Amino acid sequence: MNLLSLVFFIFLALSFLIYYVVPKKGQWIVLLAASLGFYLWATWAGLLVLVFETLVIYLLARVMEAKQDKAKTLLCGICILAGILMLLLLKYLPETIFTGDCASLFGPFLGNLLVPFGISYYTLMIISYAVDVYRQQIPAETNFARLLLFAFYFPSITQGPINRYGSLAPQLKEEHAFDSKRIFEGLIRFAWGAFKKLVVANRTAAFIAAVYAGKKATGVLVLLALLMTMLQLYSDFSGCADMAIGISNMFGIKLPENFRQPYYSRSIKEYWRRWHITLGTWLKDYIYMPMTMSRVTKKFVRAGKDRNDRKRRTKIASWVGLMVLWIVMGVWHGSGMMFFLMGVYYGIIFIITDMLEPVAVSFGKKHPKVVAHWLYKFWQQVRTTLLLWLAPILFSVKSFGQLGELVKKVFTKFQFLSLFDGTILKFDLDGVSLVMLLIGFLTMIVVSTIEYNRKERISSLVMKQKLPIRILIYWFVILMILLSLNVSNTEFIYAQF
Amino acid sequence: MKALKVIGKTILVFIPVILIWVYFALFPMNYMDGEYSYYTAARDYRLGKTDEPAADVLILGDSRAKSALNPEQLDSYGADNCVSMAQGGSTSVEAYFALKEYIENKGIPKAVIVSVSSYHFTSFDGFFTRTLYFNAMDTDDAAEVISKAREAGEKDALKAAGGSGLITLFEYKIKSPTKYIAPFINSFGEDRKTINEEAYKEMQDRKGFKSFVSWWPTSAEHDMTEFLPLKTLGDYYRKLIDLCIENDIEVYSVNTPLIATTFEESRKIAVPFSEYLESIKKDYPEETYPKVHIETLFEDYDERYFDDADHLNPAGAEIYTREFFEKYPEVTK
Repeated sequence: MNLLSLVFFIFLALSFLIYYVVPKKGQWIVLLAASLGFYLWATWAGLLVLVFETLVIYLLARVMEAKQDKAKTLLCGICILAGILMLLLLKYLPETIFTGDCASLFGPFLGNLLVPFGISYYTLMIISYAVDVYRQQIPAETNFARLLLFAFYFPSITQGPINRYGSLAPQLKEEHAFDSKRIFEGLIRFAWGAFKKLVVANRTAAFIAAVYAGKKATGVLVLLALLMTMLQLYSDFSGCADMAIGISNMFGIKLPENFRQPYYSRSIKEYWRRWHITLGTWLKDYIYMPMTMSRVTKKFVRAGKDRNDRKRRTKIASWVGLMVLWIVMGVWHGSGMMFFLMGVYYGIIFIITDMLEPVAVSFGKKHPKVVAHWLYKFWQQVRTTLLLWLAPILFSVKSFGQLGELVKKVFTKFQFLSLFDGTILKFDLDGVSLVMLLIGFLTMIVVSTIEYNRKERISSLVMKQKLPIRILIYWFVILMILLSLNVSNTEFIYAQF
Repeated sequence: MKALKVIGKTILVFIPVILIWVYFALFPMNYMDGEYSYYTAARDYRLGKTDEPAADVLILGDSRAKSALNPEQLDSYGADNCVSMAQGGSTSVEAYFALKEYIENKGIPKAVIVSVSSYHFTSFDGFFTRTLYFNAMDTDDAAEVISKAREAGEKDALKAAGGSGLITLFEYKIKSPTKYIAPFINSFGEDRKTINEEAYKEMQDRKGFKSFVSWWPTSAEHDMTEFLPLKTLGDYYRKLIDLCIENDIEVYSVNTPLIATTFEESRKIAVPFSEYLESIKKDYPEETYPKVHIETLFEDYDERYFDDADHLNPAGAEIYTREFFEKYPEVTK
């Protein structure tokens, strides 16, 4: 069910009405029914299997909670293995082996079962639940239905944010009163997400696809399309996150933020604190930290001859952890070699950044005025963005071969003037669309800058304005969305994971 | 009081949506595109919304039928009033319901000429994107088609035609902005009202006949890889014939000519399609059903008689209409 379809709006309106009409104690049951219904709409076979997996994790976690030491570790290992195994069986294996449509290859049951949507998010959430129980950070859930709700919570199952049981479950248990202010704020957040997706992401997607496929595309247009992959990925992904957070807010449940103006980052490290935040923290908490704090690592560090050697070994261990973290991040996105190499690339630049950090620190100390200058900061932002450009490009191409052809075009057929002679309008962007895209893009820049400087979300800032201003803002957003409904609505990029 | 305030604010926020929605519902002639006027003129006629007289000969089918059989020419051969209700992108489904509505509202015609090309036995084509989009079919009838197609396992065929079923039907019925914003935006800078009114009048004046300015360089048969008829479309074709039999209407199921340049290539589709029509014909033996005439063979015309690879031009239509009359002179009697 696409979050921007009429069916979803009807589904949402019904869920919303029932949620606030039933006695507050039963609100979580409405959410559970809605979440299972939402998933069922996409795949009944997938739902059955994932409900079964949740049941297994639920039982194991309960047993694990009562056990000690080795038995507890063993049970936690089984939980992790079960999650990974299901992910491999249901997602990676079919993706790697079968290139065709699973339904036509295996019939409706298996076709429905393989690559169930949201499985990557589900797996991370359910593993984090088991590990948190193991670490005694949370108690094991005693009510299976409540665990189901956590695992299938419909606003975030499509493409995150990746929830943690410790922060989401208590909210799901709470009773939520009808609060018009909060609901309006949720609606604004949802509308802002829809704006990003419909006004910007869909248009850039159409242009990029047309340029990639068009034999007559000039080099400068290819370069523009490659640059626009960043805009497309960000507006698509953060748009969906905004919608998920907005919807959840309407039910009184706060989801974690997934983006904080990532293109304002001045370093790679900062970028990953601003981009897909919940994935980054998940990887840090469940991959990097356990690796660097493991007995093997400690043993390796302790084996150092002297203090310097131990320091060096700590760094090496940290880099190994980083490399594993980024490879997992890459592979989590998809089974192809491109995703693996994307992870390796990020690992390498992260390690290089880490190596160069002392140089940057000493440069800052020597030249504090230079470092404080806005131009230097801007350069840092541009450098960071360009270093991270590879990922959006890899998401947009089918193969390295296609990427090679595109790059070749940039160098052999540049034709700068084709930017201005109307050629651009031959690639799924008519005059109206181009203007709308520019307005959308500028609006996004303005909003991001305001959010960056004020450290507050646009939805809450809008709510603070006087009614006439608010109404004008609403009308602008609504009109832009309405006038973008004619652009083909592509699936959310991150919904495929 | 607080609740009223919230409702008031909500309405205020959604004023642009409400206004656009109302505009979509009330003034379709102002923004709709393409064949809207053709579909509307035909539907208004068969529902008796216009003063045009009832027809004794009705032409049904797809765009090939619309451009190949000229009602005015058949009138000149002696028909009292021949009218074409054939529509581009339509199948036996639209033909059946058009006749059903016509009988209910305007009476029983003497004869029906129907021509549906092979492609329109394999695809629902414009069922969603034209018929329902133009609101040219009754909701219950459309729901019936969707449910029959689903029963027959033709969900993918419905999807390929641009709809997922009842939800899409609902979106068209409520004039959802998701469906109608595209023509609205495309209408900017164009006087669609005048264009549509002229097209509507042209349909009335030409009695539903329409030549097509070149669209496709190759014919549908040329582009198709194999002939895989859909059960639902075959069933509605039979229902159409049955409806004619029930009402004692002479029915002529004919095949409009194919373009000679790709005739040989078209055989890969035309041959199995002929066999398919033959199987329908067997269900209506001449001895039992003397008023049912089903043609199963095709002829080819030179390309100078075509507007494009699919549609005859006026010169081609003149020849074909004359040939039809010569073959079935009783049609105008």
